[in-house]
Amino acid sequence: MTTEPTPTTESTPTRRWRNLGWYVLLTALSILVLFPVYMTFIRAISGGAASLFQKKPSLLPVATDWSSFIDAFREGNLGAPLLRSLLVTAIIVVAQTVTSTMAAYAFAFLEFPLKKVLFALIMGTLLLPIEVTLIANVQTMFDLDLINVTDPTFGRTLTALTIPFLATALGVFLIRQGFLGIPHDLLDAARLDGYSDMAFLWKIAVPVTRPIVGSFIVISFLGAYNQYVWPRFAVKSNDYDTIQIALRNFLTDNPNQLNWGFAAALIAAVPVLVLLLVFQRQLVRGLTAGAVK
Amino acid sequence: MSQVTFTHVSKHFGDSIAVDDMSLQIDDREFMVLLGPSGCGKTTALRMIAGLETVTSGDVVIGNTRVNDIAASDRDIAMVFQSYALYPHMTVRKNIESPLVARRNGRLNSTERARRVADAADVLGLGDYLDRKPGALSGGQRQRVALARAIVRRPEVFLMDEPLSNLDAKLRTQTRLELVELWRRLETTFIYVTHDQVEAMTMGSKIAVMTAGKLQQVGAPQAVYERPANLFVAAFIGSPPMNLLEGVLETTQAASVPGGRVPVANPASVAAGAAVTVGVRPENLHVGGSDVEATVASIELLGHERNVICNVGPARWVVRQGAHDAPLHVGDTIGLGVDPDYVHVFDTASTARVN
Repeated sequence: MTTEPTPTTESTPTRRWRNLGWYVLLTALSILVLFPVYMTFIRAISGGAASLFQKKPSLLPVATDWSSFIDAFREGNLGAPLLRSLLVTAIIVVAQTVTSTMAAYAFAFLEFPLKKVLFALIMGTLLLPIEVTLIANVQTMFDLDLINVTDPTFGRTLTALTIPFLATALGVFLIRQGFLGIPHDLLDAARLDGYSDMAFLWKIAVPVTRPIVGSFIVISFLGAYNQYVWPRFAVKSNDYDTIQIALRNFLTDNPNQLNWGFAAALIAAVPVLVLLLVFQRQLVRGLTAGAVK
Repeated sequence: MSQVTFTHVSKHFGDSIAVDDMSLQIDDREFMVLLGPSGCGKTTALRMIAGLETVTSGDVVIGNTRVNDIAASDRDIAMVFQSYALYPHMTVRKNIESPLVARRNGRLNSTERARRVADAADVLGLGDYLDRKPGALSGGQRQRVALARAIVRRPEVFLMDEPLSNLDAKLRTQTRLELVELWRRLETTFIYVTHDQVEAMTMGSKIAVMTAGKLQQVGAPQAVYERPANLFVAAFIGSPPMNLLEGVLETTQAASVPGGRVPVANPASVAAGAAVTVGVRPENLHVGGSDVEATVASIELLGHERNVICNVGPARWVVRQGAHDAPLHVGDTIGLGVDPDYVHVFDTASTARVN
C-alpha cells in the first residue's frame, strides 16, 4: 500500500525560507542567552589582568590561566557550601514533589468541601513575590527560634533554609494539570483493580505524568539551588553558608581577584548544568505536554 | 452464583435522570446485552453494577449480596472499557497482572500470579507480546490485553462497555465471535453494553433494550426481533428498520393505512376505530401484491439482494427483494403484498404493542 504525501498549503521554498528565519532568530537568541556565560568564562581564564576592568573588555581571552578554578575552589572554600546547597536543595525538591503531587491528586481526583476555594487560595499565593512575605517569614523564623543570631546551629539553619519551601503552589498547579489529562477510564480501571488512592497516585498517576513531574523537579531544583535572598536572612553564621552566599562573600573578600569570582560562579553553576543535561528531554516534553495532541 | 438483579434502580445526576426505575434480572452464565442509543442510560446501569456510580434508589444485587454500598474492588467483577484503559507505562504482563497485585488482601504469591497471567495471555493469544508496552500494540491487541486483564481475576461477572467500537469493521466481526467463544469457555455472566443492534443480536443470549433511562424490553434476540414490545424497539432493532405507517384499525384483523389496507393475522386487542401504527419488516413484504400501493423512490443494490425504497402514503418503506427478481425502476407504481403473520400493530398514542 502506498501513502499519498500529505498535501500542504504552502510550497517547499516558502517553508524553507520560513525555517531559515526561525534558525536565524533562534541562533540570535541562543547567542544572547549564552553571551554572559561566555564572558564569565573568558574572564575566569584571563588571569587577574587589569583588562577585565576596561570599558571595552576583550571578547577573546587575554590569557589562558586555568588555575583560577582551582584557586577559587580552594581559597573560597566552596566545597562545603556546595554540599550544603545540594543538601538544602535535595530536601526542598523531595518535599515539594511529594506535597505538590499529593495536593494535586486531591484537587484533580477527590471531592471535598471548599475544593474550589482552597484551590483558588493556593493559586493566589503564586501572585505573591517572595519579597512581600519576606519580613513576616523572617519574623516567624525568629519567633520559632529557627533564626538565632547568637546560637545559629546547623540544625536551626537547615530548618530555616528549607521549611518555608516545603510546599509550592506552582507544583500543585503543574502536576494537577498533568493529572487532569489522565483519562477517566484509567482511574476507573484502577479502582476496579483494587488500587487504593495512594497506590493509584504513586503507581499509575505519577508514572503516567512523568514528563510533567520531571519538569517540575527541574524547576523546583533551580528555584531552591539558586536562592539568594532568603538564605541571606536565614543563615547567621558563615559556617553554614549556602553556595550562593559563599560566592557573594568570596567576591567581597577578594576585590582584586575578579577572575576567581568568575571561576567560582561557573563552579557554582555546575550542578545546574548537570541537571539540565540529565533532564533536558524530560523538560522539553513536560513544558510542551498537552500543547499538541 | 453470579446472577445480577436490579430492583427499582434509579440514578439521578442532579436534575437529570440517567436510569429510571429499572428492574432487571440477569441470570447466572447469561450473555446479557444492554442495547440502546447513546445517552439511554445503559452505560450508567453497567457502571452501577461495577460500583463506579452510586445508586440513587433501588437495589443492585450480585449473587445474593446487595452491593449498593460495596466498593468496586470488592465486587468480584471485571470490566473492559471502550478505551481499553490500559496502563501505558506498564508492559502487557504488568497490565494483566495488575488486578492481582493491586489489592493488598488475599494477594496470590508470585508463582501463582505468573501462572494466571500466562493462562490469560494464552487464552487471548498474547504470549508474544507480554514484554511490550500498550503503545507498541495495535487496537485489536490492546483490546485483547484489556480482556486478559479482566479474565485473570476469574471474576463472577464480566462487564463490557462497547469494547468493540474502536476496532475496524473486519476486526469487529472477528472479535464478536471470539467474545462469544470466550463466554462459552469461561461459563460466567457477561453483561455487555452496546448501541449496535447487530452486536446485540449476534452475541447476546438475551438483550435488554433501553431508551431515555427506561428499560423497554428484555428477551432473547430473536423474540425481541419478532415481537417488539413497542414502537421504539420496533424501530431500533433490525436493519433496515421496520416499516411503520400510521392508520386506523378497521377490524381487529385489518387496518386501513394511506394507500391501502393491511391484513393482521394476530388479532389486535383494541377496538375497531383505534388509531394504530402498523409495522412490517422489509423481508415480510413482496412486490406484486395488492395490499398497499407504493411508488419506487430508490433502489439499493447489495449484491445478494436489493432494497427497494418506496413512498407509501407519507412514509418511506423498504422492501427486500431477491437479486434476480424482475427489475424495478424509480417512479414505478407497484402493489405490495403484506405477510399477515408478521404484521405488528402498535397503539399510536401509547406506542405499546397491541397484537
